[in-house]
Amino acid sequence: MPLTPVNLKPNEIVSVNLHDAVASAKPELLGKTGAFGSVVFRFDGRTASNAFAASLVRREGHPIDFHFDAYDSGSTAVEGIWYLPAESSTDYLILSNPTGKPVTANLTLSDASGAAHPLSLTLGPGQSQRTNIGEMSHSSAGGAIGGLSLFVAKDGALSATEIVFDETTGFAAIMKLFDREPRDEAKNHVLRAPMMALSQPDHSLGFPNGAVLDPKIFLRNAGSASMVVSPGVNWRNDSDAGTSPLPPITLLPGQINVINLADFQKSGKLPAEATWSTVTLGYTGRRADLVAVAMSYDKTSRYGLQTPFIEGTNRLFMGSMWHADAAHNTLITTGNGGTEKTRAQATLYYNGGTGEYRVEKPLSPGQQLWLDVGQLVRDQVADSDGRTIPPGIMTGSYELRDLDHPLVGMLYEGKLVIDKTYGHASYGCAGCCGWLEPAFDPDSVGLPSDIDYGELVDSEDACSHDLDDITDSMSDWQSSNTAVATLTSPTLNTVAAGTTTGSAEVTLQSNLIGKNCPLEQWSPGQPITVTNNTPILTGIDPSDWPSGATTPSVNFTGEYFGTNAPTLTFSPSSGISYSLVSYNDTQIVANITVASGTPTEDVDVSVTNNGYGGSGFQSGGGVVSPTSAPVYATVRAPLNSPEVTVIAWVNGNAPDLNPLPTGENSTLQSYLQNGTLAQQVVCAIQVTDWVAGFATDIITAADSAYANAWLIKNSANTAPPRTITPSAQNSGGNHRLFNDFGNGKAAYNVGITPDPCNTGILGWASKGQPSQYMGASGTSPSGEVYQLAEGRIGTVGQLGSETINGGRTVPWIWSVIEFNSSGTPTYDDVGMFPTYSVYVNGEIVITYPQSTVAAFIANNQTYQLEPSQIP
Amino acid sequence: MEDRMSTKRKFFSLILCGLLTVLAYAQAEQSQSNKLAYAADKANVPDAIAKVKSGDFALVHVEMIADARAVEAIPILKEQFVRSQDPFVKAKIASALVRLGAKDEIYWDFLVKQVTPAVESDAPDFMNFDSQAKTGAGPSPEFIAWAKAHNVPPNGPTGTAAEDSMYWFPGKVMMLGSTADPRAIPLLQRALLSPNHMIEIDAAKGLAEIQDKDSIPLIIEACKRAPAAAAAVIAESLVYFDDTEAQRAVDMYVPKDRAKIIREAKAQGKKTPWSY
Repeated sequence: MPLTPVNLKPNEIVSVNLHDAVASAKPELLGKTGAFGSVVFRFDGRTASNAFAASLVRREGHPIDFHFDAYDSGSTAVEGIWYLPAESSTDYLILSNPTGKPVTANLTLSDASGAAHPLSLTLGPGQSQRTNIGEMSHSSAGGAIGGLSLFVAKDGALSATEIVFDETTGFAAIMKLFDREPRDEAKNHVLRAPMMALSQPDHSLGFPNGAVLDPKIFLRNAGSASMVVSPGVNWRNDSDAGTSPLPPITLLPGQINVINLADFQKSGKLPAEATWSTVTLGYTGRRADLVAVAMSYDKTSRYGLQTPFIEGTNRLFMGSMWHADAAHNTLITTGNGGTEKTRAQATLYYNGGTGEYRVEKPLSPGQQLWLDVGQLVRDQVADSDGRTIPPGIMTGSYELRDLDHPLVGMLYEGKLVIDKTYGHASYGCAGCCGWLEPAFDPDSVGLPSDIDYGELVDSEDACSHDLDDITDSMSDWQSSNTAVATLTSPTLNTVAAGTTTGSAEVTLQSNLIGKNCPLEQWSPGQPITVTNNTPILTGIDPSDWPSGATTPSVNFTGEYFGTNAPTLTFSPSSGISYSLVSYNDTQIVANITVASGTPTEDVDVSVTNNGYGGSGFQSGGGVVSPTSAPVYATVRAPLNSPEVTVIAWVNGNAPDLNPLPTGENSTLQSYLQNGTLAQQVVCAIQVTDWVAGFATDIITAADSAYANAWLIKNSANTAPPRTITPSAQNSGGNHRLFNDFGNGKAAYNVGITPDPCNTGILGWASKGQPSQYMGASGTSPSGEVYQLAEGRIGTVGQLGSETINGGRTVPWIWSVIEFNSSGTPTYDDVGMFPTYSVYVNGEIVITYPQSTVAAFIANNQTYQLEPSQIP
Repeated sequence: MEDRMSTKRKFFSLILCGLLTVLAYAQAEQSQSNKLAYAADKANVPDAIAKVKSGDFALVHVEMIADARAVEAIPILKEQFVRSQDPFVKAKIASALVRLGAKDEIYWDFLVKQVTPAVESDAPDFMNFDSQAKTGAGPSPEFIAWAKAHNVPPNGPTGTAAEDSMYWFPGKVMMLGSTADPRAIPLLQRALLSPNHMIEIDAAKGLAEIQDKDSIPLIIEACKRAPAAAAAVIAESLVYFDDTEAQRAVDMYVPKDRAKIIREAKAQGKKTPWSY
């Protein structure tokens, strides 16, 4: 029977009067004797922790009320104690089937004589059953007590609650049932009852003067082996507190024993004036092997209260309702169940969760924070922030938080709601808040190699759904493949491309509310893909490329280019091609060819890394781009420019060579002849002497001058014609230097020096030596596009010249052709030697004569033009 | 000026200027002719040593040190020997160190190691010594065949075989012979049997530098085997031997005018092929 939905704001508490709700929805259910059923709470939320729900059953006008907490799952096996304090008492085991299918369970009751009373039960889907224990156990004597075991058949689950009441005496108690764990192992357990009233009731309970309580703890060994129970009591009253261990108790299997704390108070083992206690019970065994139920009632059973035994401590509890008015009061406590100090924070919410009252207190182990809510409201006690609860506020919810242990807390809790009218106090449990499964954030990651990366692990608070960073609480950081990445701390260090899995461990309070959020160990993992790095292109030199020409040895610098042959990409790409000269991870050298007709334009150049060592680029599934960001280069096409050709050639008819200098010695004169074979041989031997550093026959400066002039005159070029075809002239080789630029053309070459001894060897001076600036092109500071051709005689000639000229190195010869933005050429920047003939579109326009040989040879290799010197 | 000068004065002035110009030119030319070249001037040896020490030097600087017997430069040369990477430069320094008496065998060994491939090379003459050929300019048919057999270009800027034949191999033989170390004799005598007459020529000059009279018959035999043009140059080395048979061979193979020039130079102090 669905009831009217209820909206709940954060931390708001709402009561629904079931009697009224049922009367409205299905009045025919009311007025039927013994009618009962279960309540199902359905709500939107990510987890069951989002809402705390309980149903309270109260007998009006009597000190009898019970609370039935709602959980998101049932039990598969429970252990308990049945108890009939008087002949008039009733003990009910109430079972509900929360599942959608029939559930069968076996219930066994045992009594003091050892007799067992089994019963098979079957509950249909959603069905509730109430079993009268007294009838089933055939016990009617006052004070009868025994054991209760319930096992649910496979795949089933039941909600189980046991209540005892006596309509004659007003006695009402919950006999807490303990859930078993199917695969539980024996270990040390500590059960804790945090608010056990001792003989002298605290005044806050509102019991009549003279009422004396009989605090008892019922113990049952539900296990199959003997058990030693170690009890301990932390007691307190308004002015004092202390700890008293009690004697251990040995329980045989199935044995039930009762600890009467009043006896210890009478004997002085516990202070007689102590009003409250937190009782601990230590034992070794499986969960629920020890069943413990505490109750403190006066001899009439009219006045009394209970506190449940709960195992474990927590970081955060979300409490249900507190109630403080003229007829009610609420006591809330939280204690430190750990082994070190911690700060506890209790927050009372009211006004639909909008009002907050917060108290913080450092707690030593065993110490408690105790709130008398009625007194806080009545006396307007200020909280830690100076706030008070407005008078007239009577109900609200609450929260208990371990401020110093956000993952695994040390707090236990308890709450009593006291009905001052009828002298009964009922306890209520707060719901623990655990964590959902922790995970790396992001759950997988792709990273470049050789970086440090800060890992993040977070977990979701099962109650608030806040995502909390728990990275610092993780331990045992590991990488499954340390060749790819190492992970020994929250800082991941990527090593090389590949895949690995990072992991770490953490222990958190679980989200099992019904089991008080026990600890759970997690080891989240994170697939890690280490990728290669995206290339970074930082420089292109030269970055000006003439169209219609190949710019040689363009240098692309940067990093992460890979060791496989990289790819250069141009945008726009039309007319631009390249050939790789060399490449490594940080440098690419390529010849860039720009087709004729390619317009002047900016070109985006990017480098694509094609991997390392034969393996392709590891992009991590596309996470990392193998292609660099673009860098600009410029293609320059002189508009309407003519083709300018500069031919450097040695004019053997130059004045300083006709006649040759005189004053040379006769041996030298006789050796430097080349007319006959014999003379050619002698001449070659003479030159070889000089190449080898022997200044044979160079006695005077006149000898040097003669040798220089003779060698140059006899290695002269024929004058180039007035009209040329530049490419034919270049391949013909009759020049010392060739420079051709413009109209989409670009060519340059250092020529071959004819052998002066006429031996027939091509390149008497070996092949000419191009300078490092040979072919350099770009845009000058004045905005002109230029091409530089520069070279000098080859190795053999240089050695010979150095010997003849006292070790002086050989100067360079050069030609620069420039075009302005209109395509107008400039070509007068030439070396002093030799003769430079300039052609425009193949027609000679000017010839720059050569200096004297002596003037040229007076220089050395510092006589050179660098591109930076072009204005 | 013309306005203020009389025609007569102009005439004498022109005559005077002309005489002075001719005189100055003649004196300058005389000065140029007489001024020693850098390498021939012993005063430049300290500068050559400094150049070598700086590492910025030419082969002629090394030659000047060796020729001047500047033994104080031995440590500097040793240092540059270590630093230099070019085998030809290293060979030159090794040659100088041997000439200066450096005892370390590494220099001699290095030199021999460089020269041996030249001596043992079977590459024929690059030049064409065929008397029937129109020109001596190479490459000779033999050299072309050899280059083809060895799969190397016979000529041109991409080929080194021609340069080896004409300059580098003979140059290294020259460096060995210029040591004037008798240990070079066997290798030089073997070089007299080289199919490359340029190597034969420098081997003969080396044996003359050493003044190894026992090699005179071998040099003469080389002249006999060689074409006239090559024999004429091989035989020039015999001028430096004070030996009747050698001089007779000079008269037989070397053109008279050239023999006269070389003999006159020898008479003026040039006692060996590579002395100044």
